[in-house]
Amino acid sequence: MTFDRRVLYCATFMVLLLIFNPLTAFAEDRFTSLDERKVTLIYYGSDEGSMKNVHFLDGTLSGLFEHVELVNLDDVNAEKLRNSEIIVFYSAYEIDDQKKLNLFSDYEEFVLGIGDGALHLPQFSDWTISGKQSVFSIGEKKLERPMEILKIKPAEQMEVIEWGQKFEERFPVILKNSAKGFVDFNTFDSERRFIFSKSLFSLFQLEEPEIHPAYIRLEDISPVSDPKQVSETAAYLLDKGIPVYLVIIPVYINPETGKKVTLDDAPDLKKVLEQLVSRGAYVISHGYTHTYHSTETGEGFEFWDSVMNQPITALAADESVAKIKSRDEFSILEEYGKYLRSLQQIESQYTKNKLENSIHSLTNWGLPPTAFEAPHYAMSSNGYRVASQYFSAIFGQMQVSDTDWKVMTAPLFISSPAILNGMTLYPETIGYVNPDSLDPIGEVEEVLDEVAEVPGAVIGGIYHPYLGMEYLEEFVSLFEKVPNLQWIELDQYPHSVQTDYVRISLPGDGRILVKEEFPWQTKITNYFKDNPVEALLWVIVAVTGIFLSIFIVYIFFLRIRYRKQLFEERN
Amino acid sequence: MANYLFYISLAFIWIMLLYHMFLAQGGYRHFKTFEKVIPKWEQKMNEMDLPTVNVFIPAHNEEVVIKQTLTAMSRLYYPKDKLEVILIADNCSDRTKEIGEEFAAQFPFIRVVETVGEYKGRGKSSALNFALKESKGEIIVVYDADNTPERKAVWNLVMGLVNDEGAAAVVGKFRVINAASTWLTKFINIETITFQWLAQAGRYFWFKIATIPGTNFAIRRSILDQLNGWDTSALTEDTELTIRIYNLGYYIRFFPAAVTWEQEPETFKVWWRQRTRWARGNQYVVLKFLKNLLRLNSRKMMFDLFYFFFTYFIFFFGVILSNAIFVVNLFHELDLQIGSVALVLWGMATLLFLTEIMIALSIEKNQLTAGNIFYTLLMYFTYSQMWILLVINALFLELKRIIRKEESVWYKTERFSVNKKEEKTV
Repeated sequence: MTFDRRVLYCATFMVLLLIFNPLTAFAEDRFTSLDERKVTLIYYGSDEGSMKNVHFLDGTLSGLFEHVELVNLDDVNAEKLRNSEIIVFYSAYEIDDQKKLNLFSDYEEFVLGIGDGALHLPQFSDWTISGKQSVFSIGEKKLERPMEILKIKPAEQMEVIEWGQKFEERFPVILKNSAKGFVDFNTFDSERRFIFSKSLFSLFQLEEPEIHPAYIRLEDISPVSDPKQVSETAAYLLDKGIPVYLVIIPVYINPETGKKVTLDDAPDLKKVLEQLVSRGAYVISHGYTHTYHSTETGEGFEFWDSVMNQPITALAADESVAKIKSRDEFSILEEYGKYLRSLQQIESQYTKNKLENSIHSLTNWGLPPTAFEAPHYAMSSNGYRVASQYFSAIFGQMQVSDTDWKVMTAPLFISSPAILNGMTLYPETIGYVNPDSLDPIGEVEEVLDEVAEVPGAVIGGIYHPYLGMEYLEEFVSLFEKVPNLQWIELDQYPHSVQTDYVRISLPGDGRILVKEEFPWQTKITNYFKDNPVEALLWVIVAVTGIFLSIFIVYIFFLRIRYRKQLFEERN
Repeated sequence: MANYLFYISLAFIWIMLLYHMFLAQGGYRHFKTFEKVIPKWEQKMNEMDLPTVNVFIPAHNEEVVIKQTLTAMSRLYYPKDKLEVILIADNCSDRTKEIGEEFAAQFPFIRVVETVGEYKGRGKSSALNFALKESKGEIIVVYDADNTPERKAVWNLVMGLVNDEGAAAVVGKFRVINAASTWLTKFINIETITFQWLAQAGRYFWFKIATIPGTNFAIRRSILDQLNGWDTSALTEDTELTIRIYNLGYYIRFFPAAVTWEQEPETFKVWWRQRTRWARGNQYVVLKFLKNLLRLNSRKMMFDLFYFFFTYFIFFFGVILSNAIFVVNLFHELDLQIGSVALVLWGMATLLFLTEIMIALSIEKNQLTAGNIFYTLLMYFTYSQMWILLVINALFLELKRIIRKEESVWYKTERFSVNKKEEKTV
């Protein structure tokens, strides 16, 4: 065998090894399958309803395309259009800014219009609308309630991707040709998000992913959780080769006494968690206390003032909180801006403190977090901006309103929506096992079946360890019946968690590297905070050490004095 | 649960150890300073009209030791016209009184009195009260019958009183005369030296508190008159007297320049009985006064009683708890959260024990010897541990007494049931 051949064999072997390594294959699939075409998502209308849809679209598109830019119609200019290879235009309203619309006249690349308003684009000027029509199903999917669509007659030959059906009649709902496409609905609630997400592969001629990334989160583990239940549920998953995501709240606050319980106060649970992490379980930081006002940890909100339904406005939970003033209460716009900025500063500081406390305490306990999940997914856009300074991965859903926490959405793909400021969202798509429901597993199964119909959709679900093993086997079997399901191993993706003193890196090769560089003052302060009793004992050791040294000096002096006396007596 | 118990035991033990550490510091500093006043005090003694002094020696069948004691008394440095040594023969059936009379014939300042009537055979306090009635000295000095005071002991005690108006009494230092006799007296020697330089000198330096040990102390007659003498119903009359003195607003000075030498038990059995009696007596006094703690005028005494309470109940409980956890942990994993700091603390506790004793031994001439260091090390694992058993025994006996409602009867029973060597102290 010549040297060249040996090199060739080695190289071939290495390539084969890379190809057949399932984890690597999955990671490659996720990151190389993103289409490189530049997408500009242009929207019109900034009301809460519109923005919810815009953020869903942004999230969904960023799960398929590498470059997605989110632009308000007001900010669109010729250059932006020139740099786009695909334009997705969303508007639920009529557009009267003809000047802006004219900008699109020369645009020759693919345009996808979504919502009635999009039909104002020059691209659709020769289409005719002959009233509205209700449909009862789209494709084979029966709608929960009839949906009103426009009766569209395109000017040229169009491919209909989804038909809406009313009894025997069919109407195009999602349609396209080589240069444009249109989606005849403008909200993405319930089944519409599945229909839309699925249609994108045809609309943009994307290759359908063969696998469904999946995960199960063990939710709301706090210092008062039952160690046995946590251990049992997590071990069941690990034994089956299913990655475990431990969503941990480091500190439990008793709502009645205000007493803090940390993992140091729950040695059995801490031991269980340490063992699970050593077996490869991932830790997700679920805030620090999972509460803001005097609500119970796990029940309360932490990064959103749920009582006032507004962003956090006070650093301490016991401070009295006022409703955020509206624009009308200020005569000068500048003053209002100043007021909002001051509130945002408080919120930023609060969020920083909480996140740093969470990362530091978890890391100190040997449970370095690899991702973040906001309690109840509730967080303002400013909160997400702050969180993105610490975490690169976030789990759950995203709150897409700064005035109402209930405005939530989540795309079906692993994505990086603009609102998350660079964080990668691992969406929760199938919900959780609700023991209060009549059919806890059946309910999840129904959603899961819908999600599984969308190629590449994440099957992301939650299980609460306090349920014990009661539903877990059935819950897992739901996942297992999905063909081509691939469990997400977070350490196969490049991610990081960092503060000024801690850096947890996931280079993407299966390693989790933890680097702590606390200044000694912080280490001591943290040590005192985390182990007050032990720290006090070390203080006693130090004091005793000082006294011991003094005593030894005394003994030494007394010996010298005694020798002197003997000498004097001899003389 | 085990963790909390462990923390509790650590807290109890270390509160005491830290306090003792503090006392050791005070003890050393008292040693460095107590002699500084002597030249000035001596000058005053030489210039003044010295007070008359009565030395009381209560004795109950002490023929074995009384000759040596009276010999020492005959050599006392104090103007003989101002001194009267009174041997109180209390219910003696041996030659104690005769030996005393031989000395009295030879030395006019020595007198023998014999308790009569209600004073007879009722114990040390009663004998002392009898002598108080029979004497007129302005200052009363008390020695146990097995004591051999150094020549200037009484002089130094009196000097302390005449130079310190706030002191109702002055307590001297005692040393073990039979330290070299047995392994037990070696331990007791180390123990007593440490007790005096740590507990007595330390407490005096920081808080002006000292306890009357029952021997080698001087007290003003005026104080005894105010207090109506010794309380015959008290279980440990010295501690009781101490508390009453502080309650009057006076303090007791620890003045180690006044030295006496005394014999200590040479066998384990005698030691056990003697110490059990002390422990029971102290437990009784502590509990009795703790009940009326808030009625005490002296805050210092409250603090000191609290210290005793800690020693005999809390610290003791902490040690037992700690040992129990240690033993249980040997057989069953208790999953104690405390890390290496516990081990370091244990090491520190041992070192503290050694250094504190070594300071006390260094103060005394010829005491910091290789032999004594070896015995100190041995003491940590043997003699000191015996204390735990002793306190358990004392607590058990006390509890039994309380349950049976035997009000202090035990004391007298114990006193008369001890063997010959112990009987020498009334």
